Amino acid sequence: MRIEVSARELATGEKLRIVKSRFAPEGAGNDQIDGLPRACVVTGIHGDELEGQLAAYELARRLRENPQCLTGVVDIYPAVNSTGIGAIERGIPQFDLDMNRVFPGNNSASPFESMAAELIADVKGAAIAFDIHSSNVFLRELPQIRVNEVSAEDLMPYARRANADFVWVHGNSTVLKGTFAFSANAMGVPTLVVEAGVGLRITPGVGEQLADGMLAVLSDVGIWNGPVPHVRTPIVSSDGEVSFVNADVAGVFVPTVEFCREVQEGQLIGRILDCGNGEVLQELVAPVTGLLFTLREYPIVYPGSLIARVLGGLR
Amino acid sequence: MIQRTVAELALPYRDPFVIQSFSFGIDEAGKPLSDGSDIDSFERSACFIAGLRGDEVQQTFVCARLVARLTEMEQAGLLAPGKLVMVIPCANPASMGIGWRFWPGDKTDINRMFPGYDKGEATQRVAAALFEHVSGYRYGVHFASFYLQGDFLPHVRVMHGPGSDGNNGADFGLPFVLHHVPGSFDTTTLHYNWRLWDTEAYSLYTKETELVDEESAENIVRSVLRFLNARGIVNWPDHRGYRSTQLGESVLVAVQTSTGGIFCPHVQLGDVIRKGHALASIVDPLNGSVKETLHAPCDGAVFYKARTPLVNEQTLAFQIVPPNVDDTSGSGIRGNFLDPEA
Ligand SMILES: [Zn+2]
Repeated sequence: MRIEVSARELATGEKLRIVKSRFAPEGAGNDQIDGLPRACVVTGIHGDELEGQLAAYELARRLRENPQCLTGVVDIYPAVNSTGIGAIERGIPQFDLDMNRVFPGNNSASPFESMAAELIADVKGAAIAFDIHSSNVFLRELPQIRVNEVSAEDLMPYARRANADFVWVHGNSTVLKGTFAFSANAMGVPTLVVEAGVGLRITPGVGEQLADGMLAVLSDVGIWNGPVPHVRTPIVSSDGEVSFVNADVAGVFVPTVEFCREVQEGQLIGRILDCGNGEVLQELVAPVTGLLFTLREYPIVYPGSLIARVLGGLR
Repeated sequence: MIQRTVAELALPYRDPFVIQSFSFGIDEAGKPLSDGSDIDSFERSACFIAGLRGDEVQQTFVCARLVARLTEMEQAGLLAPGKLVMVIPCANPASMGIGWRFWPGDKTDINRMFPGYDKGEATQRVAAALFEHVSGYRYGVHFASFYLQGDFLPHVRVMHGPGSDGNNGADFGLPFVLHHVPGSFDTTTLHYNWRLWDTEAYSLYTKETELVDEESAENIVRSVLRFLNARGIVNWPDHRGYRSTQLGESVLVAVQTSTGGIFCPHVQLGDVIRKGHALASIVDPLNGSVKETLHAPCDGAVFYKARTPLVNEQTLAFQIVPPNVDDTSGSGIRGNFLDPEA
């Protein structure tokens, strides 16, 4: 069932909308639904991140095919920044505004900020939420859950079950208070931020992997009583230490390793090229032995551009 | 005058990104600054910066004229001895050169990267290099622009918190000094970080951004010199300008649309209006009928006006300054500067 969560009229009469699809136990009336545990699957806050599309489809398909297994409610918000998705834009078209910086949307000066507030109000009271991102157009990420250390205690039990390869527990100083996840967690909805794959693409296998994980978590919170897929045990960042590799020069980056594998300290990860001159400007090597969980996808680099992240110190 | 490169960064397939600064001063012997001068013996008195975003052309134009004026004044001996004034007219030539607002590589905003990080992404590195050069000044002035597409009456913005001094802000002689309570996204701006490190910071909002208005630019240069004169940094007597109205941002009355359409304003910035006055019509873009008339919710003057020909539902169309608001104590200014979320 499609439900409109928030809408504003655009100049030409069209409505800008945030919609959700609701999956609820067969025959449940609105009164019963209000008493059931609810999960929210949010994606497309960034219009250039599409991996969540297949994850949403895979989850929705399984819920649709097995309605008898639903013991709670699942709301899927497939395209929060809907015009951004259509316009191939990360932010909200017209404003160059990153929607994941306007939550909880207290400022009513623009329609988009108060639409963010209406989304937050709609999610309120849920037992669990997933906010699915796919990095950006520059970097490819191993399917991972990002958790802030302040909410780690509450979120780790879910994060470990979400079928991610990796769980990155962030330091408190890097909290971005304008994000959907920060606002949702702050009002007591355990919210997992998923980063997987790369912007503007759908990577084979990632959507299915995330849907398996969501189903396992739904089962844990009493929303799904059907078969639970086998989920992998993630590597957790606190098991080691994250190292960064940045470009020092401007040029064209070409990787020399495959994504998502173990690298050895000193191993060549890629080169930055001066293509017209056939010259190598910089060789980038792994700073530590460990798990290469982020790798640059977009070739053009500036001094400072992030090339890779490696989790080192693993036993 | 000393012209220096304060930041340099290689760009892919382009000439390097270079930020230039212009420093002015006269030593105790009356000699203007030159390349051999001991610049560190000067007191860092005032710093002006514009063009952190590539579309802030009017702001850069104001600073360029300020550079020209200070060059003449330095030669004429009109700067107070031992005081250093630095101007950075264009902090983001990489974006301005290609007509973009944000960074060409990743569309990030340098004014969301302060105090910067010299081992981070390109805009974090630029912010770090800039901040090193602009910090330590007694006064810091950023010629800024707003994220919504609209025009303001010229005003000085002061971030409300410990050490903010609206009285000094009034020395620009602009019509308004607006006290802004910082939110979480303000903490990475230049203004906030200046303040955090003890520079008395001001943001100056001019009427135009992407377009150049010579008369408005001249008025802003004049208000800057008025401020420097009042602070004893230059000797440039002028009349005192406007008696600035001090107001908290929360006293501004918002007028928002309740429908989308073509925006036909009936009033200009600065117009004095009465409650109920018709401010604008929202016209149906297909049949020309008036879908909505926006009325003034109170008496006052038009402080902000949307600039776009099309508006959405809930667009901020106007902000009105009510009369008799010259009081920042009773205007509901609260908030915690060091932790805006508290
Ligand atoms: Zn994202």
